[in-house]
Amino acid sequence: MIANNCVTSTLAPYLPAAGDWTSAKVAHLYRSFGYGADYDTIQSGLLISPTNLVNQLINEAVNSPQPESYYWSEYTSEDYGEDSDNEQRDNFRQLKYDWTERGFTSPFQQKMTIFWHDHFATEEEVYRCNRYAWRYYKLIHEMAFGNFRSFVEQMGLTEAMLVYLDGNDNRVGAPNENYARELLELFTMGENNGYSQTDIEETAKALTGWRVKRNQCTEAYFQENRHDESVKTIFGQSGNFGYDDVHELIFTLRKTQVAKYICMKLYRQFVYRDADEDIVGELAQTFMDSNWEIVPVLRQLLSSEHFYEETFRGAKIKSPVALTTQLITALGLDLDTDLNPNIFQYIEYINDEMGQDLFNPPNVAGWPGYRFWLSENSLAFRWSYCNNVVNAYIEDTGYEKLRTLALAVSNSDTDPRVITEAFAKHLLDIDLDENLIDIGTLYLKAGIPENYFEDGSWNLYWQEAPEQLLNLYRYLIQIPEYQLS
Amino acid sequence: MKSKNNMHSKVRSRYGSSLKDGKGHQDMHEASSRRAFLRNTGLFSLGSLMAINGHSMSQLAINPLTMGLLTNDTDRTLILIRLSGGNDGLNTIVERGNDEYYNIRPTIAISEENMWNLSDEIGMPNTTLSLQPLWEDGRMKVIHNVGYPQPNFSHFRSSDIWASASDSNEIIETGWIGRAMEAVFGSFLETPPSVPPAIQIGIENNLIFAGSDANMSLSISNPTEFYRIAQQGQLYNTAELNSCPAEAELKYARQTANNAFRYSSTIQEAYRNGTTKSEYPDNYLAEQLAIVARLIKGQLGTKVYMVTLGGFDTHSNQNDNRHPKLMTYLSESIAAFMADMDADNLGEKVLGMTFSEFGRTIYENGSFGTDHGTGGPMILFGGEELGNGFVGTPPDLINTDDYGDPGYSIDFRSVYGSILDGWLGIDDRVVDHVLGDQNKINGLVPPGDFPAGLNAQNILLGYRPSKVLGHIDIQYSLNKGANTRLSLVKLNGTPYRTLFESYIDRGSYTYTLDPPKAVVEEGSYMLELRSGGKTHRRHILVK
Repeated sequence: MIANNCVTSTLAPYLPAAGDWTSAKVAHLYRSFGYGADYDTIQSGLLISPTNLVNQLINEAVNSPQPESYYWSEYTSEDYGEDSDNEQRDNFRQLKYDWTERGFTSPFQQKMTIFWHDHFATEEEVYRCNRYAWRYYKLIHEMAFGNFRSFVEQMGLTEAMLVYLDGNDNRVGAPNENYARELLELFTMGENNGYSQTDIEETAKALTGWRVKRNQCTEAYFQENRHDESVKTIFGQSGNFGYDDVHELIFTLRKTQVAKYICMKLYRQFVYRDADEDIVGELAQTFMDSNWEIVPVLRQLLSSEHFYEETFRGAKIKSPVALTTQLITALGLDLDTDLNPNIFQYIEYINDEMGQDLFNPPNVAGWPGYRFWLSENSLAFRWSYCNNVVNAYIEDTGYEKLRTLALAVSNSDTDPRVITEAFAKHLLDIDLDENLIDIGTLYLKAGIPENYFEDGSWNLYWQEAPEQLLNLYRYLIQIPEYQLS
Repeated sequence: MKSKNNMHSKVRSRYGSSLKDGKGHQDMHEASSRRAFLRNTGLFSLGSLMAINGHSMSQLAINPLTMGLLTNDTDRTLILIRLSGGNDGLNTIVERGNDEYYNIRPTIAISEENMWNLSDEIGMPNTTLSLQPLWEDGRMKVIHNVGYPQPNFSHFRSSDIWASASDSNEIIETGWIGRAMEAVFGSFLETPPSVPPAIQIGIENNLIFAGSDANMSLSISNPTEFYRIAQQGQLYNTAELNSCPAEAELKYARQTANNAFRYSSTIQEAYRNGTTKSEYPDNYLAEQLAIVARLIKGQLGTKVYMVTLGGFDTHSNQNDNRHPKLMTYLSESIAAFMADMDADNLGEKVLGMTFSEFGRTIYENGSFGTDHGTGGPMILFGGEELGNGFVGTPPDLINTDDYGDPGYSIDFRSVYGSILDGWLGIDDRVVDHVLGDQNKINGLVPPGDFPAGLNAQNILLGYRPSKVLGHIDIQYSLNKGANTRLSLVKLNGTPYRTLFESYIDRGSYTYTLDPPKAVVEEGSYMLELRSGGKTHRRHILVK
């Protein structure tokens, strides 16, 4: 629960008065739904209403390009052949780099796929087939903004999931409850939220029959003689239920639980880790009314006055992926020319080091997230790695653009404090205390003899200015406010 | 008398040295390589002592600041006073009665009646009268005309040279104090000190304290920040934050940062234990020195402090209360600091040293100022029976080079070496490792009473990038010939690679590690030297 009196708003569409639709709010939308935006994009956002902007971004998200398949995407073990370990590892790594890179090219889609990956957690280290990783990856991209029910139904039949949660071993006479439990507990309804142990057992029986030859990395198939044909009783209903029936039961007899559980998760993703029950209830209604389409819920939430409340700005601790991606996105860089070509590989590596290894969450519950990302130890890594990225992976042409950015946000001011404050305002979700701006100004000015500020001869066109701005950026990265978005 | 609108005939075609050169002058202020600039202002002002290669310091074992090779007698502390911008030495330490001085500085020279005497030959402007008692009590020394060969006139580059003690044409990314401390304190990663080895107020020129592994100093941005930390006992204030979402999460983030920073309580304790017993003038240098005095008196234990006074880049209207004002600030602050230390009988335990990235042109320019020059004086004060007197010779104003600059008299590395050796009692082998060949100045500083047996040790001195790209020079020194093994150990303690094992005679050596050839992968390790039954370890990062 959010503490009393922190929040007063509803899900009614945000209709700002003139002057209330600020760049901070536009930026907040971009940071919550994606990873932030550069100066020009934010200025463009100011010219249209929140609702129209949200629609535009959702449109962009929904129409993001689907990932292209690789030569190995459907390779069986036989296709790979002997002595292909290195090739397989390389291919898998490339997939991770590419997924990381999509955070920069299709941010809304990528962020959503990572959300779903966390939700429908699987671990590649368990299923160990590149083909299965690809198919899982492909599905979460296809369904990221699609129909949730269909998503669940298809997810349960991915080879990755069948191996990971033992659907593969679940057969008549020897039911394996693993998937059935997580289907109810983690993927649709939430723990102990309307199902019993018996429901789990019976559901497991209903899901029997699907098989995967994991050592061969071949497609999943249904094997009749492994399917349990008995009558099962789930949620008080009885019948010779099969795979499709299970989902019909969940999505008709447990509608409210499913809707609330998923909407709670969506709320936590985009707004805050504690949710207002009423708000979630309303979102759940929208979810049910739309027959499990994800987009209407997003549209409602992201366009609401609730979403734009000031207390939600800077209320989420950045995940490693968000932390690293946001380092770059607000700067207005050209991805092809202003960045070291190895940056995505490095970012993938450090995201992993900071605890977010794509395709391998810690367990089936996914990444706990929120404050779990931030501890004394991880804070040191976060500083260290972020510094490495900004110091070593931006080309000179990119540093030049720091100047462009500073000129734009400060309106070409020559007062270092004004520039510092404007620069910080653009890069952070939270307004800085005065003493932090004072210190930031020291960082911006460092190395230039004081007299050049006193007599007004210093300005952002000086040769040193990009270095100075980089220095300021390094400072901003290490303050606590930077960990939040 | 030369008209003030004519520059002396010998003055400059060194383009960019004066303001009127516009963009060219700007280039003079150019940043050196990006990585050096990075060191200039410190990787993290506070974070560098919070994490080594990503390992949070607070997680590692606490070790009292055992001095190792720096032991007591000496609760001796070194105070570096950086005069930023290039101090005009000629108007600081004045060769009175030198006609040439008045010839080349028709308007800005200090006149006779505005000086006090250090000796028959040398005077200082009256703005520095506050230093007179120190001089007359034998607690102040002047080193004339300190510089280095092939001087560089860029603020950044020359500051880096003074910080790293490099030659003019080489780039070294560690600092002289940083290297000395790393050699002395050994493995920072295994046994991080419970107090910062060095503290800097300000964020510039942090390179001085940069070691191979970590920056050895805590940089506190400004006095206001210092007082906040000392009074709050933590980096960031959390009390004012409420429990609504954004503030609750910010509170959590700040608490995490506070916990990661291990020095808050030690600083707060020293701050509370120390007291200010002297009246400081109202200027920025005094503010910083008051803090330093309080921390020393509060027995913090930090060995080296650095404070900065800026504004010395006096290209125009130098005497229109620019340089004179700075001289006043400098002298009054030093006097107040020493009075504060003396009040607790600690004046003998501190040695102060002023330095600047370069001096200025001996000729005045057309704007009643001076441009970037070569050598400049250093002032030492404090110490135990420091004495007074001069080292070196004042600049020769007549026999200058083609650009009108005099040669230097003392190489700054001699001063550094004498201080590391004489004042801080650091082993000669370490001093040579840190500074290379340098000629010490006998009797520059009063020797300390260092315990015997200091030199009866093997030392794992340090490592640095080799001349060959990708190779690493590892320096070590043996006190006695013995069977010696140098190896790499993983951070979890498992042995990794033996680099060599053989009988080695007493002496100092460099072993060059070729990682691919030795099959050593990139990463963090402990370097282990075993010789004569003793083991020394330090962290090494193989890149």
